[in-house]
Amino acid sequence: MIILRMAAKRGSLNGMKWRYIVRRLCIAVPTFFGITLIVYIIASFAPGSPLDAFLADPRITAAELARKKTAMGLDRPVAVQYLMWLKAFLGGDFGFSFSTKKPVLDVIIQRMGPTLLLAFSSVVLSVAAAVFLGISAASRINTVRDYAASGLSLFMLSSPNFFVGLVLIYIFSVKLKLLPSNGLYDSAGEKSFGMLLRHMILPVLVLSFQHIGNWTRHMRSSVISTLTEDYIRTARAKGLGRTQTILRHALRNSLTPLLTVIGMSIPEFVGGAVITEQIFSWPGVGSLMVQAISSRDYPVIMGITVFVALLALLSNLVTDILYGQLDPRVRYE
Amino acid sequence: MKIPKLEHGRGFRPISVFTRHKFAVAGLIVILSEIILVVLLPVIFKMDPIVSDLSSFGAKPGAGHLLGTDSIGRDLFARLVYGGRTSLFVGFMSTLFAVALGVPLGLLAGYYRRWVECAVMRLVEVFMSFPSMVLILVLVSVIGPSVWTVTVVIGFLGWTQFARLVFASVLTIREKEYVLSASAIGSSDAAIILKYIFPGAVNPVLIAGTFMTASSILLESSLSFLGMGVQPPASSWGSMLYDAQSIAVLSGKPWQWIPPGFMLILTVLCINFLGDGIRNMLEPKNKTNI
Repeated sequence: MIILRMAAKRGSLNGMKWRYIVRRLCIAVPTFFGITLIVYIIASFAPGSPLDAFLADPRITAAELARKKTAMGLDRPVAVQYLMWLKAFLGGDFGFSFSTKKPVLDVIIQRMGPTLLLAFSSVVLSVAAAVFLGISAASRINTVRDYAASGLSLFMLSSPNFFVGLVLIYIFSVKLKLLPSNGLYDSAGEKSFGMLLRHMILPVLVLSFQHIGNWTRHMRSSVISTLTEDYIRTARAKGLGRTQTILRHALRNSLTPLLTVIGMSIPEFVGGAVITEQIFSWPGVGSLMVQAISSRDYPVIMGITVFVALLALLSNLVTDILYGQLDPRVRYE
Repeated sequence: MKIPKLEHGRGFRPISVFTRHKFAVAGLIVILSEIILVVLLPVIFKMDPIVSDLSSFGAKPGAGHLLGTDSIGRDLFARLVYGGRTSLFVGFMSTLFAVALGVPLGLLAGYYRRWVECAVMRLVEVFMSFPSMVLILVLVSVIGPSVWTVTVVIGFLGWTQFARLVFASVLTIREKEYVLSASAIGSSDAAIILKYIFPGAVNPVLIAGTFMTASSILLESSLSFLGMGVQPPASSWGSMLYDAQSIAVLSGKPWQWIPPGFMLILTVLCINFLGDGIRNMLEPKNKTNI
């Protein structure tokens, strides 16, 4: 706090930046609680109750059912239930899954590994592909190469990822029997890193598909607008070649706007990998979400929502700050 | 002597810029014919997407059923056409819903500033900082999945981009002299907003609206694919692909799931082409220096 105040007193750009970060954090905290409150209320209005699972047991008595209800806190008003949840959450306790009876935090952390692996690989692949395609298109605007790259990116953006997944499984798993389409490892055999890599190829491709399309379009327009700058003309006039001009002068400045787009989509990779994980039976957070929703497992739904919301707020914040670092022209207000 | 044509001078016709973009024109034609087909075909041929043909289950494409039948004997061509109705309906209606919510809020926030701006733009930040897929899943499963639920939920979570776009436009327009002169001659706030400010904010909304229609169609199909969107016996392109999650249908009956997938890509691609064409027309690009 002292460092912050000193920086602010100097009135330097650094101080402005810190004040901006603190202000953003002040907005992020109520936003976070707002999201949890909204999701809690929505989830509690859901038809069906987690007690339904016990009703399936013909031997259960009314007294026992009532005892279970009290134990789960379901007899209190929603507001009290939310406050109970919030208090426990701040103490690091996410509650227990209604369906598996395991602590929610453990369940989510256990599922986080595969999701992060998938998400990280896809982000790397998407960025690499989008930067390459975007530059290819923008450096020769309105040529066959531009049309090919732009057309490809629009096609990728327009393809529903579940259909892409089905087509890839049909070709590579069913017909060619080249790649597995199920889970992290084969059911038989030793679990090796090579096996994991083979299992990752199709899910990573599917999860990246639309993002490559989207980011290529952003990269292309960003490079095009950078190429209208005077310093590009200067570099060219000095006799620097096209490729060198683009790599040395245009690339860095074109990446900054792309960074915002990437930062905004990070939560989509973790929370939004629902479809990809579902198709490939990937044991991650996305498929956990689908299971939790279909079994009305509120603590798990809440846990995932909180995780994803935190991640979204954090990645937005980090993106904003990085943006200023990379582009010193950005002024914080 | 050849006189260079002026892009923005007199005689600049947006329509001719649009028609020069061949893919956009093709996209417009495909979308319009799709709308006409999904409306007219069922009326002309008396199609029924729900009734089962008890003599043919999981049939291949052939004379009786153009695209074959699904596992419980429903005609796949009829389901494809009705699925198209659903997909296009959800795409356009949810966008309209988002526009109807976002544009007025953006106009008010930009015109009145102060606390209105604060309230609206904070709300936008809350909505934007949340990954939509998770919230949509929760909302849809709670309200109960149906065509209307999906439409309203997608629209409800999509309004923020319109509010932001309109807000940004209004901030520059409200400083223009014609707005000042309008308020000087005593026009009411409502008249100023509707007559002088709103028309200047239409273009970005039109562009973003076209792209949102495409992404809404994708979102609806994803939800239906997960079984949380349009419910059987109603048909949607996404729900037609739901069956293909089983390996038997996926590997043995490709005619069941390839046509709806193909139609989805074609439709979304065409709407995106259209969006690109509209953007080129309304926001002409700069020339590069390389």
